[in-house]
Amino acid sequence: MYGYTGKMLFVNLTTGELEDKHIPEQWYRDFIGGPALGARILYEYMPAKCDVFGEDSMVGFISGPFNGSNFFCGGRYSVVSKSPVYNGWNDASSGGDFGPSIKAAGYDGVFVKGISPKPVYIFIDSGKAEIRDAEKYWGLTSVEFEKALAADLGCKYSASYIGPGGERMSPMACVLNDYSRAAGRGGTGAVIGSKKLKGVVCTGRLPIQIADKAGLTALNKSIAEFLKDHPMLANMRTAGSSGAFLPNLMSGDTCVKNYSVSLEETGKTVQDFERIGAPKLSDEYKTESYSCAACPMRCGAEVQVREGKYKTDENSKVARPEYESLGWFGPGIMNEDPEVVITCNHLCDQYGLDTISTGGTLGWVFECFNNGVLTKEELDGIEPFWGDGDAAVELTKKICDMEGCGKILAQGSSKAADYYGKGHEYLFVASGMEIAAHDPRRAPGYIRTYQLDPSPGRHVKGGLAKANDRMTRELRYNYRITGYHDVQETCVTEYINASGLCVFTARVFPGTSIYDAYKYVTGNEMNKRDLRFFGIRAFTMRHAFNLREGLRREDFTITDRMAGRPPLKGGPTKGITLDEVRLGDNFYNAIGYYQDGTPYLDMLEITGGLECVINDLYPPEEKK
Amino acid sequence: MNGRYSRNMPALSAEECAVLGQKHVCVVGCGGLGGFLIEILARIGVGAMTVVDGDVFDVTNLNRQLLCEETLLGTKKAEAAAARVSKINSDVKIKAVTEFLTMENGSQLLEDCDLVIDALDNIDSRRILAAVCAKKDLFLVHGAIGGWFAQITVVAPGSGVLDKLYPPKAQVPNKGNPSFTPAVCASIQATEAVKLLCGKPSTLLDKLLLIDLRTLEFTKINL
Amino acid sequence: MKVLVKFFVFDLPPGFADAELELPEGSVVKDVLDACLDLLEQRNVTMDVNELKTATVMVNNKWSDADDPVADGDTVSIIRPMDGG
Ligand code: SF4
Repeated sequence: MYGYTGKMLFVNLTTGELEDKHIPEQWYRDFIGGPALGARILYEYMPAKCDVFGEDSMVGFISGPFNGSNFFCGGRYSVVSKSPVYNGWNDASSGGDFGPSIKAAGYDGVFVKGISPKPVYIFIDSGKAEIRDAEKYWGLTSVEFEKALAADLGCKYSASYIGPGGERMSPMACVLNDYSRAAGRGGTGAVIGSKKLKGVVCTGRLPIQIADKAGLTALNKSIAEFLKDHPMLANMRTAGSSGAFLPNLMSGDTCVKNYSVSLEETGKTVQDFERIGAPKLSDEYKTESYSCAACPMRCGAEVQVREGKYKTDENSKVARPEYESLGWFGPGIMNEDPEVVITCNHLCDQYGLDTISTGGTLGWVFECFNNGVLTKEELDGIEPFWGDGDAAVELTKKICDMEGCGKILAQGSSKAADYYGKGHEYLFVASGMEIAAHDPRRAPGYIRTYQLDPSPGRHVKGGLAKANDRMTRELRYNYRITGYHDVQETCVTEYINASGLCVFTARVFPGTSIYDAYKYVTGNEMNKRDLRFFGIRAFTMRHAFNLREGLRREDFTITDRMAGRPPLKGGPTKGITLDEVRLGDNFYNAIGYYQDGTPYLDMLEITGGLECVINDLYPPEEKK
Repeated sequence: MNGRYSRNMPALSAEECAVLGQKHVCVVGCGGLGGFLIEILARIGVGAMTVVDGDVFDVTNLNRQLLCEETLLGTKKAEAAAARVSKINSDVKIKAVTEFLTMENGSQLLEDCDLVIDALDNIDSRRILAAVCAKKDLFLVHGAIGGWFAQITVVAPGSGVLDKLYPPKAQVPNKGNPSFTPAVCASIQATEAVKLLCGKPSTLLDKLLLIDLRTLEFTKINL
Repeated sequence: MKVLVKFFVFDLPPGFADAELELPEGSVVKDVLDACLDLLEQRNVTMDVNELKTATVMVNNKWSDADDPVADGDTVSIIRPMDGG
C-alpha cells in the first residue's frame, strides 16, 4: 500500500503483549490517517464509556500518509485518546520529526492500552518493538530525558513522550517530541502518564513506498517556486507564529486580561507589548531556526536569554514561544516582559504542560486575584497583580512541580474554580478547556469550533473562523450562510490533520496541490467532492466517539464571556454578542445532523465508511 | 420559429417569444425555488440566465430541490443548474456563479440583467439582494415559502417592500419544506417574470400574494 | 366595536384562520394582538407569543404599526414572515 507501512503496533501494558495489527485497507482509504483514522481505531478497539485512566482506555500515536513522503509540510503526527478534561474524544497534533520517524521504524501508528506496573517506554527499531524499562527516565524533564536517551541509545532516534506533568496526570499535560514540540491540548499526556508509559521511541530507516515519486518531486518544486515570492514564506521564516502577535493584538484577537477587556480599555497600547512580538522578540533572543520534517518554512526557532534573572541554560534547547503562548503569558496577564514569556513557556515545555491551558489558567488566577476572589493566602503568598511577571513565573513553577496551590491549578482553571468554589464568572473555557488566544468575538467562527468540535476548545480545528478572516465585517457578524462555509472549511481542516499536513501552510498551497499530493503519495484519486465527503466522514467519526460516550450537544458548553455576554465595552469588538446557538444550528444543518447532534441515517449511508456508527445509532431492528 | 417554442403559442405571441429570447434573467438561489424557476425559464426560452449560489447539495435538499440528485451531493448547486439548462435548452446562454451574493459582488453579478428573481432562503440575503436591485434599478420577483405557505410579490426598484415584509426583528420559525410548496411558488414567480419580460403588466406589482396550501386559499393584499 | 382578524402563515387548527373580535373603542393594533392571544388561550390553542409579536400586521391591507388605531369593521391581517426557498 503506497504511503503507508500498512501495519499498526498494538501494545497492552498490563500483559506486556505487543502485536502487529493490519487494519482493513479500506480504513486507510476512508480515514486517511491522523485523528480520523485514530478515531476509527479507537471506536473499534476501545470500549464505550471506559474510565479514561483505566486499563481499557487507549492512547494512539498516529501518522498520516504524508509523514515521511517528503511532501512539503507533511510531517505532522497526532496523538489520540479520551480526554481527562471533558471525558470525550481528544486528538492533538505536533510537528518535528516523530511522524516520519514512526513510519521509518515500520509502523503507521502505535496504540496502547493497559497499565504497566512500573514506568516503561516502547522502543521500536526497524519493525521490531519492545517494552523497555523507564524507571531511570521517570521524573525527567524533556531536555533531561532527550539527553539521557541519546546517551543511552547512541543512535539517531525520535521520541514522543511525556514530562513530569503527564507523569503526575495533570489534565493540562501535553505529549512532547523533539525537546519542545508538543501535541498540546486535551490532556492526552495525563492518559499516557496513567499507563506508566514515558513514551514511544523510534529508530530505523525503512523506506516508505510512494506511488509516484517523480510527480511528487515535481509538485514540491512547483510549490517551492510558488512560495519563493509569497509573503508567508518570509514571515514564517523570520518570525514563525510570533509574527501574528502584534497584528492580532491590534485586531482584538488576543486574550487581553484574560479576555475581560479590550486592549484600549486597559490604557495600554500595542507598543507596550512590542518586545513580545516580531521583529523584536527574535532580534533580541533568537539563536537559530528549526523546522519540521520536510518543511521549507523553518518556522520554529530557539532562543536564549543571555543575562538577568531569567537567564536560560545555554545547554538547554529553549523554544521561541508560539503566538498562543505569547498571548497568554503576555497580554493575557498584562505582562510586557518577553523574558517572562520565554521562561513560562520553557517551563511548560520542560514539564510537558500545554502552554495554552497553563496560560489560560494563569489568566484566570490573575483575574480572580485582582478582583479579590482568590487571596494571597490561597496562592501560597504569591500576589499576581496584573502585569507581575515574577508572580507568573512563580505560579508556573508551582504548577509544574504540582506544589502547594500548583497542585490545584495544575488541574486547569475549570476544576480549580470548582475546587475553590468561586471564580466561575472569570472562566473562558469550552467544556472545561482553556482557549487559545483567538477571540471568537473577533472571528465568530471560533465559537462554533470551540463549542462543538468533537475535541472542544481548539483553534486549529473547524473552519468558519478561517473563512471569517476573508470576510468583511458585515459578513462576519451575519449568520446567514455560515453553515456552508463552516462545513467546507472544516472538511479541509480534517483533511490537513489526517494527512499530516501543517495548518499554517497547507491552505496557502496553490491550486490543487494538496489533492495531487495525495494521489502521488497513495495512488488514490482525490478531488474537491471527495475531500468534502472525507471531511464529513472524519468529523462524524470523531463526533460519533462522543455520541457513544453519551455526550450530547448540551454537554458541550462555553462560558458566557466567550459569546460576548456581556459584550466588551471598547476596542475593535466593542458591543459584540454572538449567537452561538444559531452558528451551531447552521453547522449541523449543513453537515447533515439533527439539531441535537445526531447524524441523519441517509447522510451516514451516503458518506460511506461509517457502518460502525450506523450500527450504533440506528441498530438494525430500529432502522426504518 | 422553432418547433421548440410552438407550444408556447398562442398563450404567448410569436413576438413575445422572440422578446423573451433577447432577455437576460438572474436567478439568485439555486435551491428549492431556484431549481424549478431555472427549469421553467429555460424551457420557455429566455435568452440568457445567470444563476447564483455558493452552496453545495446535501441530503436534506433531496426532498424538494429539482436540481439535487443523489450523485450530486457535495457538488455546487449553481454548477448543477448550468448543466441542467444546457441539457434542456442549448439556446439559453447560461452563466453559473458559484459564490454567494454579497454587497461587494452584487452589482457586478447583476450587470446586463433585465430582471432578477429572488429564490433565496434567508432574510439577510434577501435584504442584500433588494438593496443591490435598487442600486441597479432592476425589478425583483420575490418568492418565499414555509411549510404549507408561500408568498410572492414583485418589487419595484427601491420601493422598500421587502423591509415591510421583513420587519427588523422578524423571526421565522421552521415550518418544514415539503416538495409541493416550492413548485407552486416558483411557478407563480416564473409567470410574473415572463409577464414582466414580455412587457405585460405584472399582477403582483406592489401586491402580495399569500398562498395557504392547506385550504388552497390565495389572498392578494395591496402593499 | 368589532374587527375581523385574519391569520396568515400560522399553523392554526382549521376554523381558526379568521376570528371576529369585540374590542373597546380607541383600541390600537397592539390591543388586537393581545386580544388574539386571549382568544386563542380561551380556545386552548397554543401559539408562541413571539410568533405573533414579530408578525407583520395590515389593517385593511395597509401596513400598520403597533400603535396605529383600528376602527369598527376593520380587517386586520396578521402575517407571519416566511423566508424559505
Ligand atoms: S510551517 Fe512550521 S509548523 Fe508548519 S510544518 Fe513548517 S516548520 Fe512545521
